[in-house]
Amino acid sequence: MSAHDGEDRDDLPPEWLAAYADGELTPAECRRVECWLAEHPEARADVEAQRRLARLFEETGVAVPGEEQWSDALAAVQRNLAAPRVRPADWRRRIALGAAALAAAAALLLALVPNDRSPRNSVPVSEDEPQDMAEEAWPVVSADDVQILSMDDRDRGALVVGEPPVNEPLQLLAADEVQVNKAPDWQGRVGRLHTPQEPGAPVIMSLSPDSDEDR
Amino acid sequence: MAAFTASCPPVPSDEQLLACFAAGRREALEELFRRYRAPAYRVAHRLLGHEADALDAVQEGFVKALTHLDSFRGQSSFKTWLLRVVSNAALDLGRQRGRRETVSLPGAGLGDGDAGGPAVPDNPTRGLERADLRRLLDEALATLPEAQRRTFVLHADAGLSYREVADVLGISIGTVMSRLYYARQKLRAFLAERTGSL
Repeated sequence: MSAHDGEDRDDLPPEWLAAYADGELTPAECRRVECWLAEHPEARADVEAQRRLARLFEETGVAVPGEEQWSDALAAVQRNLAAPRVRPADWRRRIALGAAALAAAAALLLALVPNDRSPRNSVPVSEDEPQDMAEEAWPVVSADDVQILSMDDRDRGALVVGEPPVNEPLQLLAADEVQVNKAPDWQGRVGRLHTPQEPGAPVIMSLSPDSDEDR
Repeated sequence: MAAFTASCPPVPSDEQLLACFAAGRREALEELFRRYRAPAYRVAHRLLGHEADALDAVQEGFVKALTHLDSFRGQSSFKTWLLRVVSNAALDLGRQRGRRETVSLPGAGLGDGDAGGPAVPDNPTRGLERADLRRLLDEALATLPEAQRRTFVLHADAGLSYREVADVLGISIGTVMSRLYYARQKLRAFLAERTGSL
């Protein structure tokens, strides 16, 4: 990496060099980068390294399947598309399940928000992550946006139950990013964490009055 | 591809193909699949690191995209809509199955020369066989956060422009630039550590 990653580029956003190497800047932006490079010729190595990396991925691209595999895949798509869709009579059930999913999201957020109401501060952010990434959150959807086509009865207990509205962006957190206080919700229920078996998978929280596994 | 009638011209646009598909024209699906199967597969493969899983993700992506066309409002191209669905399917599949490790362990496998073609010319990792280099790049990609990996793969493997990547992910171009920059910094650092160059 170049030594020109830091304060030397105060007058030029560092990501512009990569965009310049990719040919993604407007003509005016290109001229600005070229003027800057004229004053900082040592940074040209950085631009060239960006291009080398792009070429490296291009030249080692994934080999695509052969025609026979494609034919099988297309046949599978056609079979799936021809399979019967969910019957109209199932709409009410789907909407109800969608509402349950929304309520689950609401309860998860409410359960994870500490008492000081500063949920964003509770998510550790890597120092080398750009700020806009740190602030991105999963969108909260309405019940109409959710379709649960099938569900095992055993999974119903894992759904979070709560009350909308959700006024904050929803964030999914992994087990090691969460510390949950045993604060009961407005109905006196205490959250129960369903810890994932795979590292990095999101935690699911349900609210249960007889929960004894909360932490 | 079968010939199309006047309502589906010989070289139809994606929009025309979608209309034909909605009208029950089987060949419209075949043409859409033929157009976009390769970029969809490249994205899924890079995200999953496994050939069979990648094909599954492509199939699932096509099925989901075509059964939820009502969610595709034509604000972006069908290609970007499809790649959004395929990359979602790939990431979901990866979470369900766990990313299968097809990359070599640190320091292992370099130069063992399996059938992967000649060394890639004009690159700083000169001497590595193509297959070894591909594994090394996969290994480097696997170290990236999911958002950066997805952004990078959509640009590098699907060949999407920054604008198209932004459309696929529903983020700003500035965020695309930022993610690509940080992704490349990490990839370069990883490769420099492994190969001593780049």
